[in-house]
Amino acid sequence: MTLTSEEANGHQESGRAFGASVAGSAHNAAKLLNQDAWACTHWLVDRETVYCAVVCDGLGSRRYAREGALAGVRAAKRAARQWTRAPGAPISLLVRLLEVLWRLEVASLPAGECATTCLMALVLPSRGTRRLVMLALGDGLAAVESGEGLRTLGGRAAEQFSNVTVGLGTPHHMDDWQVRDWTMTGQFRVLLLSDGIADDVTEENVPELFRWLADFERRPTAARGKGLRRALRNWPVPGHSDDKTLVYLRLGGS
Amino acid sequence: MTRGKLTLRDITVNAPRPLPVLLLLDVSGSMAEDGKLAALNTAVRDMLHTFAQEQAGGAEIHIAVLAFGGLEARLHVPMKPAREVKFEALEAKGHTPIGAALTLTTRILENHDLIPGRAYRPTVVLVSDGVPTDDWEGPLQRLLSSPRASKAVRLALAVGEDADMEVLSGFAGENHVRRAAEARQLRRFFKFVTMSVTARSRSATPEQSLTLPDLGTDDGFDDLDL
Repeated sequence: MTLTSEEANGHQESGRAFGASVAGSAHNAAKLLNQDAWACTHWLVDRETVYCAVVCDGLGSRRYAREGALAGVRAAKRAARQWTRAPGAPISLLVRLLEVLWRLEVASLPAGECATTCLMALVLPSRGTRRLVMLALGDGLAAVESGEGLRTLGGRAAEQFSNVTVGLGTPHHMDDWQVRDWTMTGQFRVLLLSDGIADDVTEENVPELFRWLADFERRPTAARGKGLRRALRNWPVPGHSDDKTLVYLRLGGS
Repeated sequence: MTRGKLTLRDITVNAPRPLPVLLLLDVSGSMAEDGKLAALNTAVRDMLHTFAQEQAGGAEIHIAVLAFGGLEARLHVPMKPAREVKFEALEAKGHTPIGAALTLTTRILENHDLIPGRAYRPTVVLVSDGVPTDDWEGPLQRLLSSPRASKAVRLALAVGEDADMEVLSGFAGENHVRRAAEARQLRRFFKFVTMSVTARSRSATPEQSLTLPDLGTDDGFDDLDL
């Protein structure tokens, strides 16, 4: 299943968010649906806007990987909404809440068969600046580009191979979650990538990927999603087979 | 990279994901008896031929061949795409330094330049007909406890009646060891490994576990038809 959405932020300053997801050729050949899921949304807390982006990648060998990834996105959004309404709450509670809500989302299924990775970016107002909270469990990559340069989170652990990862529904510790909490000023851009993309883009090329995506910002809305999906389907890496998902979020600037 | 028209081709790697296979092959003197080594050379050549033809999948099969005999383990074929391998027949001599082979295997599996993180989980196949003649317990422990090497799919084949099942079971686990008492069984084992690797290279779920088949009846090694 292919999804595309976007929104222009008209609340306080300019910004842009969009994303896309396409099933990989291996899943298409096996007549399986896309096992990635994503969302990018916003809501108001005390009249100020909170932005939330999520990418989940269901583990390919699991029977309900697709359901697990969709549940991961729902759980992340619900957890973020609750957590952002509790000023001062530690990030560890956001992580625990997300874990519990995901378990509830998949309660009717064997959780191990629903296993999924999870990347989340959450942008909150913070005394005239912005606070960016990023979470990552399992492979895939989250990246932030700002005046302070490029910062990344997630990525495959040094001891892992492709398609071998921890995730919601696999045995893991809370320490397996990578967590960052940054104060952001000026323009910044956030990118969440499932491993179908992240594995084929070396970290030194992530700034170029940002630049390539920035070009999509300038396209008409209707053409943006179509063009992005087409590009992901025509992925140039020989033998590529994974589902591919990305979410792009820019705040500030133009 | 041009600053003008930027394309995904400029940003992405230009190689398929590797699916690595390591063959750890016993070339001790006893392998020359009863045509065991001849059968092994044929089986490896057939495997390489099949891998080289394999174009349908998403992954690219890479292979390395480690030969252990005499006093050392050495890279007979360094890790490279199977279609680029020119295999020269192995020759047998000397002792059975399995410990040295395990040490070299761990070093290869832990090397991110040889096997990058985007590679699929490697398959390691240990084939031996004898008893280790060097310290193997330490190297095996180090392999089993090393971060990446421990995650490889490990299979073992005992060739003939004299193979040390303890070391092979310790390496692969009892469910992933078979014994070949004849050339046909050896070829069947290699065919199975070949089929499972090529199936993984095409699969939407390449990390699913595998079950070794029964290798059939025992007619002895001297019924070779090579």
